Amino acid sequence: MVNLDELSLRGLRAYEVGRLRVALRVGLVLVPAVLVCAFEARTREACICVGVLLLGVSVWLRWRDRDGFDAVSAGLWAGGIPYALGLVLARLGVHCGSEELAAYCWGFSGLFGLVAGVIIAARETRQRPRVTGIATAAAISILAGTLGCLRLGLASVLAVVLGTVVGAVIRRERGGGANA
Amino acid sequence: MNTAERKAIHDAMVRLSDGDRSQVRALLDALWPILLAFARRGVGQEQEAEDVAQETFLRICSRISDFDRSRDGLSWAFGIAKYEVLTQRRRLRRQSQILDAPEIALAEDPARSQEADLIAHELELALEGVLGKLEPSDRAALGLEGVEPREAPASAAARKRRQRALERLRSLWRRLYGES
Repeated sequence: MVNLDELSLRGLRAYEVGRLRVALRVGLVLVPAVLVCAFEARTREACICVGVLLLGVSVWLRWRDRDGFDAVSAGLWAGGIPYALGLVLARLGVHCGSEELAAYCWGFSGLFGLVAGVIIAARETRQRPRVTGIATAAAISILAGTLGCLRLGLASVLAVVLGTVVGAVIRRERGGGANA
Repeated sequence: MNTAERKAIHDAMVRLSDGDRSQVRALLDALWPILLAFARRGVGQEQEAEDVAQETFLRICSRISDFDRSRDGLSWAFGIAKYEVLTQRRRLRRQSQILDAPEIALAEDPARSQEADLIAHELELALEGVLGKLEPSDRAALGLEGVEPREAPASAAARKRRQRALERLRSLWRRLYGES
């Protein structure tokens, strides 16, 4: 005769392990992204630090529940834009520290962040209009964008953060119907 | 089963896949009689059916994060149960082949030639050699140590232990004498 209480506990353990396994799959995307960022010796430590933080938060959110899972997906999609374009700008020699290119660096970084913020707010408002979902996805997006923009300088990271927040707020206000 | 019960199971699966851990017990209570009945039809014996139903439930819990909510939950669960039943049947067939093989060989040829006796003797020696390389716990699980196994043969733990011992025996035999 099967003890259902014991089976329920074993089921819960299997469930948690299964969720963790699914949550860890995000590493397949994030680990290569962190390695690309860490390729540059100048920003290696910062990249690893941000990468570990991003990986940890992403795994935890994806493991916790579906809202967290969706927020991480939205955040990584949106954050992929400043990440990729940040790496391209760095490759082209743009740096926020240089006087002649600082304006471009600020402008582009802010724009990438703005686009990311708008995408997050649009997606999250459509799925479930909650401020926490947008904020979580924006945080993930900012961390992902930071990985790409670290090479451009701290000013670029700040511009991405600002752009993401502004973009998310504008899109959410214009989208309407959001409740906390 | 009526539509309401089917929907209750589906809803419990959806909530569990969303991250509501309290649904594990609710899902077990709703699903257990169905899984057990399905397993009974599949494998026939009560003890085997309970093992299959348990394994199916643990697999459902482990894979619930991948559950596609647009599909019917019960059909998804039956898909997993069917796979477990087929696996158990294959396992039982393999076990019965191994255990019955010497008796079949003797029954087919009651008056063996000297050559056949020699081959049989060599095979016995080879088998004894392989059995000698097994761990004492494995020999005990196969009933070769002159002591009774601790659990009754019908218990799931004893059967599992015997199955593992047989797998190790097979693996040793292959290593020493190849596939045949």
